[in-house]
Amino acid sequence: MLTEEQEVLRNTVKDFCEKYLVKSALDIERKGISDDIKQKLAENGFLGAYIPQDCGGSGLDKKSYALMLQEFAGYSPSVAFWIFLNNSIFSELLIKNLDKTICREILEKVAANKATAAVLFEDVLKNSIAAPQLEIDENLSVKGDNSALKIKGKQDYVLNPGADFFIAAVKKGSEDGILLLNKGVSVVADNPHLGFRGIRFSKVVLDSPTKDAVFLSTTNGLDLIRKTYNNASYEVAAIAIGIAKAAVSAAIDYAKTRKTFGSELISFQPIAFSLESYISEIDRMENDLYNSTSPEDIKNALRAKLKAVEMVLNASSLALQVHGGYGYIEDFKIERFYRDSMALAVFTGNHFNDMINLSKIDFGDKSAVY
Amino acid sequence: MDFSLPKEIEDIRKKARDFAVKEFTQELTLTCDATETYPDDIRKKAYNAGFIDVGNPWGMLVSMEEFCRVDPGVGMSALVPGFGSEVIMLYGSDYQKKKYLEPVLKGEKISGFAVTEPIAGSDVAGISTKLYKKDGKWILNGGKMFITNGTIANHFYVLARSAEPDSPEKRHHGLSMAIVESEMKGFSSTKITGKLGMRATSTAELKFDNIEIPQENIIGEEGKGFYYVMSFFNISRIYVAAQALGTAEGALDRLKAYLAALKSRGSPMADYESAQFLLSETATEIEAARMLMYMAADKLFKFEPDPVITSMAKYYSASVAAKATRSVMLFMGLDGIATDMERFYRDSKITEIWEGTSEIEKLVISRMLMKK
Ligand SMILES: Cc1cc2nc3c(=O)[nH]c(=O)nc-3n(C[C@H](O)[C@H](O)[C@H](O)COP(=O)(O)OP(=O)(O)OC[C@H]3O[C@@H](n4cnc5c(N)ncnc54)[C@H](O)[C@@H]3O)c2cc1C
Repeated sequence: MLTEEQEVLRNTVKDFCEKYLVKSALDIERKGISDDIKQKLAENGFLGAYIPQDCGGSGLDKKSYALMLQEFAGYSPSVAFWIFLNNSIFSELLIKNLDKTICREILEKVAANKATAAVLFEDVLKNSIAAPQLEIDENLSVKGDNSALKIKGKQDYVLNPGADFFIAAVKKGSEDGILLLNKGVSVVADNPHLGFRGIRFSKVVLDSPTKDAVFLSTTNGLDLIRKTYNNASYEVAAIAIGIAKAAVSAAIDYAKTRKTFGSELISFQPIAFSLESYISEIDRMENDLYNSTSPEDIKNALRAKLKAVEMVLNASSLALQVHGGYGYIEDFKIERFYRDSMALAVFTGNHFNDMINLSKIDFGDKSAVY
Repeated sequence: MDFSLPKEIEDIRKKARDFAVKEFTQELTLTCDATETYPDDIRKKAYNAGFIDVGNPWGMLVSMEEFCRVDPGVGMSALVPGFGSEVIMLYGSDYQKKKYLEPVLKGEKISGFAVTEPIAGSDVAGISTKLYKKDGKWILNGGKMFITNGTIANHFYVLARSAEPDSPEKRHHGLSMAIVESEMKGFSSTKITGKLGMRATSTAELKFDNIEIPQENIIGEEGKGFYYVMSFFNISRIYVAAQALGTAEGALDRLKAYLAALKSRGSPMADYESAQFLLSETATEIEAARMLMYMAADKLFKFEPDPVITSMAKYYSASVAAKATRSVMLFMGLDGIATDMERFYRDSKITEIWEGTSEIEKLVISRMLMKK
């Protein structure tokens, strides 16, 4: 199923996680991913794993990159998601839409942890948004060099609001474009934080005299970002599988040692049966994912994502249940997996929109309309 | 067959709803959740408004439902200060009623019910806390885990082993209940932080280090503790069913409000059949859970408890709450993640764990059915 190189990569990531993440996983949730960890991720080539080599990244192929994310997710979903946002979303948007020289300049910094990035995804992931909420101040129109360009507004859902670079969809007249900003974003308040607590999640206001702002696109901005999210479905499936695998494996370990009524939990059929059914489901999903000859294929990736996300929601719930009261507190990682599974579903798209997209691919445009 | 509750109970329901909507402000619920703080002011207000009234179980039940519908964490915190009182009402002596129950019923003191230990939760008879006589005095040694009101209660109704059973099959023999004051020498409690949900409630680990227990603090008959705990569960499980029902209804309220908001935004999503089905299925499951819960409560409050129906109500309502909060959260997506919907999602899970896990409820149901 995996090539020798991929097996080596998997083991390297595992070793890294055992060395640097196992002990700090709880700290990451409480205080954020430390700069030290980010630096180590960068030094080992993980931070820019999917960024092309000529832009300062490791240039992994999609499958190897997904495998890497899966391993990270089992140790710290926050870290996996941090890498995902940098590579699958930010870097992809840049590479597909921007001049190579500027791309390289920025991505080299991101891969080396000299700068961090964020994508303002609110308009893309929220239900029923037709046009970007951010508007370019029409009084200050674009004058070729962008020196008088100004963008004002607010965004309520921003992961990593302290970033050095932001990508935002903006409304410009009747068109919607995408801008790359590097100034003028300030935090108004932090949001309640269901998942990926290692990454700050805030409401921000924008008031950017964006002299250095660059247009990635002046049309179809929302669609382009949406497409980027869709293209990342394969990686989302891998993260979901990584969380589920770790949750179920922790539950199995626990069930083998915890005794009730004089016997180990694993001796009770309902527990053994349900854990067993998840092991086989996860195995099957993992096989399908890594045996795929076309990880770029949107249809298969979207299917894999939907199934894997649904599965991880169930698997993490079962794992928590098997842990009883202990599953409910943060010292046991299961509580985190439970929250992060839902955060993964919410921060990577909308379940219903994904279903609509998939239906349309499979059954044509007339399907799933009402 | 009458499916409606008497007017005076419906009046309490309305009053409870109004109280919760007014008092459980967004700021309060957010803060209690974020900082894991017990809302003592709300407890006092709820008491003064007459909601904490163990003598009016139907009133408590509908209040639990309505409070949790507005916020499960603060709602539970407001109604749980008398946790375990029924044990004293049923099995306590006059002295215990006067000294321990009365101040709780007057809203002056807080109680807790402590059974679970680090090594045993579902397996109640597997506990290892010891209660034994030394020089004519009762001594308590051991500890308890995950105890609600653990850092705020003035006293706890504690299950401990007071005699070794004759055989492993008779492990439920030889257990007794004692009242332990938090001021007693040798008592200590440590707050448990970092809970998934119900973060407004106080949860703690208790330690008992050679605590001297006066004879008058032994509840009921020595050796009957297991039965007292089981009969308490037959009562408390119905309140957990109400908690779960309220949580599920809260999710439904939020779904309805969200669909209305989508409609006013001009979104076609509000009319999607998948949205309509989600609404209908959730509402149907809530009604089914309600029927089971009211049936269980009706039997119990007529002093004819039916453990089968009670366990069915608890297990089913909990699964409805978990499912409803998850589906609504998924449907709302980013629109729900910074609202209290994410809290409802986290808060719902506990109903499948405490007062008997869903698995234990299923074992109770099957065993009792086979006995019938
Ligand atoms: C926030 C919170 C507050 C609490 N408050 C209190 C309180 O005030 N007082 C108190 O006494 N306790 C309290 N508890 C403890 C709670 O009641 C227990 O956690 C619960 O009963 C489960 O026990 P356990 O955690 O030991 O899990 P275990 O008993 O170890 O069970 C682990 C898992 O195995 C399953 N299982 C066990 N036996 C079997 C079997 N034979 N067949 C199939 N499955 C089985 C269980 O269903 C569960 O899924 C609280 C817990 C929490 C999290």
